[in-house]
Amino acid sequence: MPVQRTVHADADANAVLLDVTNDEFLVYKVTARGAMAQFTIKDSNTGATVMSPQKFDTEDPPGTFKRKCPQPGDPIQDDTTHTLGLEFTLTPQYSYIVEHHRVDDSVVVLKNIDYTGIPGDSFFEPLAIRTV
Amino acid sequence: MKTKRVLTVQAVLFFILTVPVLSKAQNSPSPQQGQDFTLWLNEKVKTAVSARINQKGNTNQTETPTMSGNTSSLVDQSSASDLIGVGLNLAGLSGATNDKMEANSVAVTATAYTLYSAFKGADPLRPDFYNSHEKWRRLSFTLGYDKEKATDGTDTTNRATLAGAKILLINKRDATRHVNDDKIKTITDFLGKAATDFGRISKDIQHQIFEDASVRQTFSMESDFRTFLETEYKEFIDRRIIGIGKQIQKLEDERAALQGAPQTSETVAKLEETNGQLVVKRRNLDAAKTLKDEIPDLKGKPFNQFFDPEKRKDWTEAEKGYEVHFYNTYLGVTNFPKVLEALGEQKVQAFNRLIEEQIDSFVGLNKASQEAIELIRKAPQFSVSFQSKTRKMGVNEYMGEAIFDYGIMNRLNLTLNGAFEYKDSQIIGGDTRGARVAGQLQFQITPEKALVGRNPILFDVGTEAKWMSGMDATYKAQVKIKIPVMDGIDFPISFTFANKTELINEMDVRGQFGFTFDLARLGKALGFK
Repeated sequence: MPVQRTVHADADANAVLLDVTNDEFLVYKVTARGAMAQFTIKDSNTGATVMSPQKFDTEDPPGTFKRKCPQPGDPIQDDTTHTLGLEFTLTPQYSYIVEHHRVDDSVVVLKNIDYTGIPGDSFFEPLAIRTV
Repeated sequence: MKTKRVLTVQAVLFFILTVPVLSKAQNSPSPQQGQDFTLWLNEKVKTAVSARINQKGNTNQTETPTMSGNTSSLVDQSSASDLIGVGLNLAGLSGATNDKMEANSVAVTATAYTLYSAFKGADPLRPDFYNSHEKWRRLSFTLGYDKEKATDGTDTTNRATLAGAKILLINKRDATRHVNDDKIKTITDFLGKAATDFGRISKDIQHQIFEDASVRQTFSMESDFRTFLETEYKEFIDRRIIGIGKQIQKLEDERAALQGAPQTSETVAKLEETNGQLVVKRRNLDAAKTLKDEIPDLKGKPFNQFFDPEKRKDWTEAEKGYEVHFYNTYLGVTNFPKVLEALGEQKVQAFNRLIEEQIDSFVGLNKASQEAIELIRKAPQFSVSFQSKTRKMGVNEYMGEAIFDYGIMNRLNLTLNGAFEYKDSQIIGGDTRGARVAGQLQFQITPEKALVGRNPILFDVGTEAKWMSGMDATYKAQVKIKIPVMDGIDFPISFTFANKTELINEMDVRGQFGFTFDLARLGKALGFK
């Protein structure tokens, strides 16, 4: 049985247009349920880590990692893809939420997805990003 | 009537023990059924990895304990399921020489961790809770019954109560032990490379889909783009105008406050910074208004002047916005099958080749995770257990047991049992005592497949010798195959050969089959949270 992917409230965007000129930003939130979280969010253009269990802004509650993107000194690329990679050997369940904080202070949930897998499973969740 | 009562008891036991674990799942939506771009690409990558590599815990006991006369297991194993395991032996298979003893049995095993997490109202799979309460998973309790036919030749059945506890004293299979750090790091490294490669493949394929003439024709991209300009794009610009307006208002308020405050070097610097920000915001507002004014011109421009693939970086906001709109509208569950149809087999094959060319990191990740799983599962475990089988009438049985598990090599696990047994008879002078030793080699027939949810097929060869006071020694040999039905449910079938039974001095051949349930795995397979 492959990794089960459950989308909540149709929040399953493939792409986002981010108005960085006017201070729009994304907030990534990954929750891991298991012995040890093994995930990463990578930028396809640079190979840089956007977020991982070792690189995050806050972990609250334990097992829920959050990071804002872009950050000062860590600009976001145009025409790139941020991909969440999940590995299930030590953690059978993950949740992934991506919020788009827009210029008018509204917040759109781009992704709200649960994943369930078994040891040895992996899954990748891409988000194409264009910036203006 | 009795069958109905047995089923009722089974249902109640199952309900009582599973509700605390699975109750968090009640409001979860169903897993995704249709295929969108993300699922499709993940499946393509897995297929490519499977083609390159041709090719779970195996000592977690879910079966009824050996003290059950109807168990399909000759040995007990060192650990239990993480949460709850249910062993169900439905019936004997064969016409044994003594078929009057054939009966059914059920045993439910729960770790102390399950009970503790339910008591605390904690999510048992939350990483910090799971890791900080590892010792609670070392202690497990078993409760069940054996349905035994009477030995007096009548159809009467009696029920013996099974109860037991097991404690895992040595656990070298804890994945979070430091000796596994290197393997975990290798997985993490490959995961990072694979995520980057997946993003590049995804981007490349999305661009090709966007530029494909057949796809553009199928979805009438030209008219769709012009509609987008009038609707979503206009809303996007309007939202920006409103947003920048709010930002300007906020900055003007800040500036007024600074102007009214005592003029220190700090406030002067802050005022200068605010003025600078206001200039930028007003310029951005003017630019946004210009973009809005240009929408009619954009609509009138020939379509072939948009979306030059060679100048992607220079695309206008309208072009970038439409590309995003396209991916969100046409790569979802509803429209993606139509995209694949429009692309045609040849183009999809070209995507397959593109994936195969960049598959190394995914193969590395798969191998690293399989190696880590095998390393962890080969490590030794040692536990001690106490089991009892009590009857309203007749002999009560008690057993203290030492259990050792060790992975000899990949896919081959050795289990050894040494036990002291005591049978407490109501007849004066009828008590018996003795020793039991048993061993089992477990072969994992099918490989550990990351791509399939079921357990591997397991083949066991076991033997047991028992010496009870006042009785001849009993020797048994067993072959067993455990077939996975689905993730969390296995179907064990065993054949046991004995030189004699404990009651009759005749050779005995018995077949047993049943089902085992690992509720943690089953819950996951059913999408419970």
